[in-house]
Amino acid sequence: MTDLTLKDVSYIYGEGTPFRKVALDRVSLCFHADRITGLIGHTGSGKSTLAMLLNGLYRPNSGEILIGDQNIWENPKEISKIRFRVGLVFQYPEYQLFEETVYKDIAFGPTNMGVSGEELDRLVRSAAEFTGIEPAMLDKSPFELSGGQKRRVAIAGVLAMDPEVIVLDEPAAGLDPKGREEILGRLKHYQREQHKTVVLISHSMEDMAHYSDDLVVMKNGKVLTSGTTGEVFSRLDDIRSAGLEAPQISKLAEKLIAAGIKIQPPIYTVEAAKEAILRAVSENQEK
Amino acid sequence: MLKDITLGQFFPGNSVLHRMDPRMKIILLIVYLVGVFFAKTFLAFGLLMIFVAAICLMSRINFKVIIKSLKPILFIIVFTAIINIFWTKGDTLLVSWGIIHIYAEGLRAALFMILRITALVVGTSVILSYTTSPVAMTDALERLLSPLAKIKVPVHEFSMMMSLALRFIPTLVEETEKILNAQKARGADFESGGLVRRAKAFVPILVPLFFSAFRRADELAVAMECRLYHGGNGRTRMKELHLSSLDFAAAAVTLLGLAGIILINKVGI
Repeated sequence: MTDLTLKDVSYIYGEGTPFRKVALDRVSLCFHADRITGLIGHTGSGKSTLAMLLNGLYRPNSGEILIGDQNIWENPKEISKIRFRVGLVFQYPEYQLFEETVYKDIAFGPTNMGVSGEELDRLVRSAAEFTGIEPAMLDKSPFELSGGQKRRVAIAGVLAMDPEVIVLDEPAAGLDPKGREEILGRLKHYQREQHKTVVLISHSMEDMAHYSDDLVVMKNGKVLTSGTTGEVFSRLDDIRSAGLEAPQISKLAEKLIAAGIKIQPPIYTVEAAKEAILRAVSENQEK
Repeated sequence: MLKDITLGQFFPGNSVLHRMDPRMKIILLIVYLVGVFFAKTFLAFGLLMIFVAAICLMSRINFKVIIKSLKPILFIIVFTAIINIFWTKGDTLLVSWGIIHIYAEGLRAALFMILRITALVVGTSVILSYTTSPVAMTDALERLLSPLAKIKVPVHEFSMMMSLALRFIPTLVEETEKILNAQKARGADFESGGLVRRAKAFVPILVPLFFSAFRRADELAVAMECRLYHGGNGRTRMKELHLSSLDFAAAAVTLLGLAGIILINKVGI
């Protein structure tokens, strides 16, 4: 149950060179404990940079990142300990698999933490279970698996470190709809059971609407708007000004409202839309 | 760290150096390198440095980028300079302290060595890699080496391999950086421990890197075959190379420069 807070964080690439580029500009944010926060933004809005700042792979040029009450750069020599508390799953994480067996690859993180014996076995097996890796798969080579399976092994490798905060950069990128649903569904299940702080980076509005509790919209290295998913999706104009599309179903709801059908925005999931439309129709019939 | 490697990187542009025929550039680079090794006096090095400065300016490439290309070999430069300072013996003793003797000739040799290495690296980068696209470069190499095809040397295949290798340097550098960060995020430690432990720490980097390099190679081979690539036989070019007056002017200037350096050496000033 740990909040992750950013205070006035700036990050500049290539400071002092002609390639200088401000990736993050005085960002202040809070990723709340026990919630899934979606981070959305156009390409180049600073999402991935933010992810690498959160676990100390990059050091901010100014500002502070707090895990709980502790500044992660309080003691730079101990930054690797922060990396165990804030787990980061990169884009296309399957390309980082290297061990002979799936089991060993999942165990890489916890072994680096100094865990061994039964505790290690427990961590590996529970991470495998959460990501839907069958025990029989654990002895296979990770290079024999399918793309979706590899992805799950890579995610399990981070979950096995049992971090307090988990940051996932496009965990479902490049997967088919079924694979997307499987991975994101399992993550949500994991979060609900383990009460972790989860940061989910994606540019799929549908996924965000479906899986996140809070949303942060980024544009050009700044936070454009943030709040609960419902709040943010009630400000569709902000989303559009960030160069992003509203979820398909929100667009439909907008058209229905424009056509005079009385439904109450924000509508951003198919289920909510169904209920609202049914309600509107039955009210109409009563009249 | 890895991003500092600019070797083999092309900066598109439209400067005089960009417009030159790559074949001429390769030939003139060889002439230039001969000049670099011939230079033996202050005046000769002065002439060389003027030439280097001139091509840097003409290339319109950011000066900081050029300086950066020297960074990876900074160690070699410093190391050879130190060796030259302490190990060269001469007539004019400047400092004598215990077993350390520094002669004026040593300082001179060190300075020349620094200038020589700098001229080598900067010249090669600016003349060739920064201003010549990999395609143009391999085209030119293939043409220059084409006489070797008569003695059954697969010139086209070699140049194709080279252009592919060059093309993938930045990609692999980027990939390495990504994997490095991903393993760091899982607590991999590359900085502490003895030699064996440090070597072992690179396994999590090298295995995925090799795997993805082979995967890329495989995909590329398929993509090339899909476009009916079958080697050099009967292959025509989209861009035929032509020598222009610009190339002859450049050749004249470079040859004059080389002649100047040789002359200066002969006269000994």
